[in-house]
Amino acid sequence: MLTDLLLAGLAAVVDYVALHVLTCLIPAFLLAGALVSFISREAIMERLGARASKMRSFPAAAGASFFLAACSCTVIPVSSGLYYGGAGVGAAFIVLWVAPASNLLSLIYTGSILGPQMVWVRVVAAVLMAFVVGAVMTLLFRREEAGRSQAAATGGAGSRIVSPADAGLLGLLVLSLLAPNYLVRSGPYAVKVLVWTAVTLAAGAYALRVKSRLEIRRWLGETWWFVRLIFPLLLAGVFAVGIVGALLPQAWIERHLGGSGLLPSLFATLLGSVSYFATMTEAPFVHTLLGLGMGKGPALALLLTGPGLSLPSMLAIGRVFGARKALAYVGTIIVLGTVSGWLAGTFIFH
Amino acid sequence: MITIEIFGPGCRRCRATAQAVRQAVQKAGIEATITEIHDPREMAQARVVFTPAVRVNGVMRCLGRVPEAVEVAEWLAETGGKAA
Repeated sequence: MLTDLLLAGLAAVVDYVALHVLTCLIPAFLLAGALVSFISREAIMERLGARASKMRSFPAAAGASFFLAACSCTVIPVSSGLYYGGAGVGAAFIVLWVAPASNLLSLIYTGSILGPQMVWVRVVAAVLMAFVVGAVMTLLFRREEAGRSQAAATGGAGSRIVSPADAGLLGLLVLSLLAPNYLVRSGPYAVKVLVWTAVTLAAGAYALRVKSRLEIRRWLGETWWFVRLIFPLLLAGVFAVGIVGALLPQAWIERHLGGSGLLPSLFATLLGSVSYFATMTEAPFVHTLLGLGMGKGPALALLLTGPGLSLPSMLAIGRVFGARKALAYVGTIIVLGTVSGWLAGTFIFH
Repeated sequence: MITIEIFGPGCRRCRATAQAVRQAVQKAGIEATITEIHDPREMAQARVVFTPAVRVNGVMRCLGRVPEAVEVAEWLAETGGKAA
């Protein structure tokens, strides 16, 4: 029994991690490191500050969050920094939601495990939910917002977010991710590896031409930090996914998480909201549950709320923003998660 | 006397930053007060959005990345030069 469980855990690690290292994980981490070191985060912040109008700051907040951060430990200070630095409560909570629910690293991994349809539905749902969360928070706390002294935004408006040379490098890195997985859809795995190697070498050569040694070292340093922070959690998480998948009875999953009704979506949302999923582990977990009979709607709800919310993050949000805002946020997310799971299950996944 | 503030919620990157700072201070053999700031409100007041961040004598030296000990030593040298 025990050896069976350990074998199931190991099998999950092989399926979900080992087979994805070269063509998904390494390029994704390299890209994340490059985003952190080459994109001017100050320029992004300017576009979210107090002076930005809501019409502009909501999409900017949602858009920026794709690239901002990958782990929840970085996003809470970013969001509170925005808020106490004078940004609207709506924009601050949009960042808090989108960065974990739909960031680049987990999207790439979701695509590689669950397919492109789930990725775009996840992005659309996360962004729509973000706008509703932003609107709800702005509306609920409008009095407080009006009274809040609008701190002066940082100066130097209109600075560039990314230089053209860096954009070229980022483009090559995106290509190193997409080319092996989407250009080569059939054929042996070795072809994928070959394509990946070629594009990565091109990106490396380009980087050596346009970037200084120091910049390259910082980029690789940031990449290495992502690997060090996320990879152990991913390994442990995926191992646990394999064990949980072997333990859960199929009939139970089919009964509570099957189909695309409101109840299974609510159940998936609650499950995702309470438990902690390290960035990226939600994808193999959902894949395993799908195999055991979970409906695709509830799967989406779990993909969104799993990394987006957890008991520890709720407590941290309450400490930083106050209990009332935390409750309003968590309540809104649970309602929205349930509704998006139900809607997507009914109208998009048939 | 040099005052060094390290901003960060207490994650591994922040601990690595604190370690780099301590190493540099020890190597330089100078006296410095090192404060670690974990409170998000205080960070926001100091305009720190991306952590970890390091401030030396009120000057923000790095935001959102882990500095190397060599780098910290340079900041210390610059700051010491100004004070003298």
